[in-house]
Amino acid sequence: MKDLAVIETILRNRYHFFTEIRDGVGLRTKMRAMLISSIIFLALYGAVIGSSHSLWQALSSAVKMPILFLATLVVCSPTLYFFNVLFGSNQSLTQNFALILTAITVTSVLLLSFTPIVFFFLLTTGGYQFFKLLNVLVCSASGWMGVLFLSQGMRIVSTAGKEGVGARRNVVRFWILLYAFVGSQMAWTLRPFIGAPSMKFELFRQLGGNFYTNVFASIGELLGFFVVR
Amino acid sequence: MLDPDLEVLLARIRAQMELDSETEYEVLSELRAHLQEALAEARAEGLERPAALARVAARFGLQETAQGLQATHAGWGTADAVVAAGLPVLCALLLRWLAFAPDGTALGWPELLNRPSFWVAALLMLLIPLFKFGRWRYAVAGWVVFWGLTVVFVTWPAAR
Repeated sequence: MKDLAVIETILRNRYHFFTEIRDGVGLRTKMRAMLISSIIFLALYGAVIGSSHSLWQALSSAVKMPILFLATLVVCSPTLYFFNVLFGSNQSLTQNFALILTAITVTSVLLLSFTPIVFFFLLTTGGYQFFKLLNVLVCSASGWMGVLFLSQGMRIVSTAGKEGVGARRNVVRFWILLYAFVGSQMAWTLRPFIGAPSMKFELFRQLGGNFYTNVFASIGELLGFFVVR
Repeated sequence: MLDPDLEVLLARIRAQMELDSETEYEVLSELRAHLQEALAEARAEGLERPAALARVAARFGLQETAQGLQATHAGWGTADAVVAAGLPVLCALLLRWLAFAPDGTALGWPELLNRPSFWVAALLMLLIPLFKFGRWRYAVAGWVVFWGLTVVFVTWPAAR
């Protein structure tokens, strides 16, 4: 229940939460709670989207979904830290890590809240491309809300720095683009998460192509322009 | 009838809590009753009203009470929502996997309606959460909806 109390504080009283991160209060406890909750929520979401294909795909997606977000976090956090330090931030790498983890936690809570809706469409529709695009939309909306949270958090935390507040805001904007770019490529590398109904279960697919061309191809097929092979 | 002085004490406790307003209301209602009792007790002992109020405030310890209530009830609002979102989906997935082969292929679909094991599993999956998770009323309501959808969408193609 303590872990959920941390989530409740993030959602209800973010200012207080970010102020504590700025002051370095209880960072380990907060990070542990956010990590545990995010992994559970993302795993459940992964299990739901994977279960449109098979039990093995559900289990695989339940493992891959937390890996996707946490690996993106690990890859992207040093960039944010060094750019912030360059522009006068006095925050440690752990504090930056905690801030990004807050964004991931918000994303995972929102994904959990979408789970019944996604599951409803899984039960009542059969279209693979539709289901894939629905999930891209849900993940994008949740991810966007997560980074908005990060941006607010950075603004609160930045007030502790001596100089370069404006520059650090631009750094966060640049970093959010980078995070989205790395995240989408990471998702493409770890695919499949849903699993094409015509294909057998695979843990990973061969490299090649990219996330964006695949999304456009799915939209094209859904609108009846062509058929994706 | 509300005592304005006790309401001031309750407002000070409330200011230190970060719970959802429904929980806060329930918790403070219960606390109000205790404060009223303590105040009546102090007055019965012959204390003047200001002294009685001061004793009630000191006895309960406003900050400690607020911290204690916060620690006891924090997270339960989120837990309700998490369970409401997660439990129905988890149970529905389990039900689907009990009806399907692990590789996702339909196992004996034409005979599904005649398989007692499917109906036993489906009924158990419905009844266990209904009796076991009575506290999570929204989760149970969500589960009933998903149970119905799962059973219909699993058995409908078989029935056709």
